[in-house]
Amino acid sequence: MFTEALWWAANFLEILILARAFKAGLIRAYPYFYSYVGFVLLQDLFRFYIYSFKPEQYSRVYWSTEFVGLLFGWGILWEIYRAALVPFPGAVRNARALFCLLWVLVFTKALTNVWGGKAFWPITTTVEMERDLRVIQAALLIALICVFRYYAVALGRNLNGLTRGYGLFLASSVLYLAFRANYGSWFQVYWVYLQPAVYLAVLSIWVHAMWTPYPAISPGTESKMHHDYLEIAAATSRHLGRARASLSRRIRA
Amino acid sequence: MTPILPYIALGLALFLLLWDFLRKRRTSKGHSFVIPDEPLSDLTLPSEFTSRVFGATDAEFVARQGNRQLKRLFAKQRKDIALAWLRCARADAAALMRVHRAAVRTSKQLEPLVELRLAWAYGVYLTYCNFLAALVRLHGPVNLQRLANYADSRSEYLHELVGRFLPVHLSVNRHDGDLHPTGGTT
Repeated sequence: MFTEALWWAANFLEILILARAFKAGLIRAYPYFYSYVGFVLLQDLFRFYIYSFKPEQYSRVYWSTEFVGLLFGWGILWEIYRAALVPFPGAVRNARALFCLLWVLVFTKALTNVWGGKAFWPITTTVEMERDLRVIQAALLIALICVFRYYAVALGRNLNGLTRGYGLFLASSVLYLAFRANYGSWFQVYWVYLQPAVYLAVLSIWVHAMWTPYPAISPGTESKMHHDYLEIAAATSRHLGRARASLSRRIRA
Repeated sequence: MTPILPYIALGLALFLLLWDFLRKRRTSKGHSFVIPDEPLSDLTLPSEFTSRVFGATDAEFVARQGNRQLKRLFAKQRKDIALAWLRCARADAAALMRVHRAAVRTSKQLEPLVELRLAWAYGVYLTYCNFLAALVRLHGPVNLQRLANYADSRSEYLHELVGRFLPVHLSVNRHDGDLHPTGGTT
């Protein structure tokens, strides 16, 4: 009964998000995000139909739609990256370098598995597979948030909520999929309540954040700067070097 | 339990990062985007001041008075002043890095390796400041020369280490320890 209530509440919030998007004209600004919400809504209704009329196929349908949802999730990451960093080409370059580094680490891990005589990516269950794919998404989102923090990228309310909601979803997914993969059926009892409850919280964040259009804050005065990058970098480095030298000189004086 | 730990760590790291990032929500508004001409720590206090805080003259004078309470009070106040000065030095460097990041984040020429090298230099500077602060806490600010020399040589080594692994567009000028762009316009 409780899980059903959560399920219907989630559907209602998804419809609300989509309705607001049409009314406020946000669809064009965040097409990947709304495709994701639209997909999840259809997926939930389809699963409900299967659960009610063809319960023997539910498990297969659940996992196959879950993986399609995961692909749509990549779209949200792309949306956050694109919308937040477009006005900051410098930060984009660093974000790309960080993403490349993460992919190199993932492939290095896979290659060391092969070197050790294991499979390229040892996965025995679909839960493990989803867990590992969510881990990669979570790592990319962490890298993205680090870039936002490092370059003081101010996200507007929409993007902020999008990041917050998807971040909460990914962090909780990684945690409960890890528990599910490790402890199996024992954790299933909690999973059926935890997953929809967290997802409801995520949807509430999105409803609040995406209620009205709120564009990301674009960089102000510094966009007018035409200094050579290396000049600025050299000046910063010079000041740091001098500060260190000055510090030790004064203490030794 | 062990195989699950990396996943728990990653999940919690994302939770904490989201919490911290959304709590601060800093913007770059209010930065002047001007990198100062004078060396950073010279902006904070005149050198005569620091030479008295870290020098032995005043401490010897107080010691000659033979009053233990006065000596203790003097040591405590000098320690507080020295720590406050080091805090200022750290804050100045943090402000410089903030200005740098705000200035370069829109630059299409930004080079991740140069940024990595600057972040390393900043990290070394902070480590040096923190080490000095620990020394001041343990030993007091007077007669730190020998330990400061050691800390300086270590931080110099760390500073040079990155140049070996990241020989990017900045090269070390041995004469003044500065970094200049090779073939740059400075």
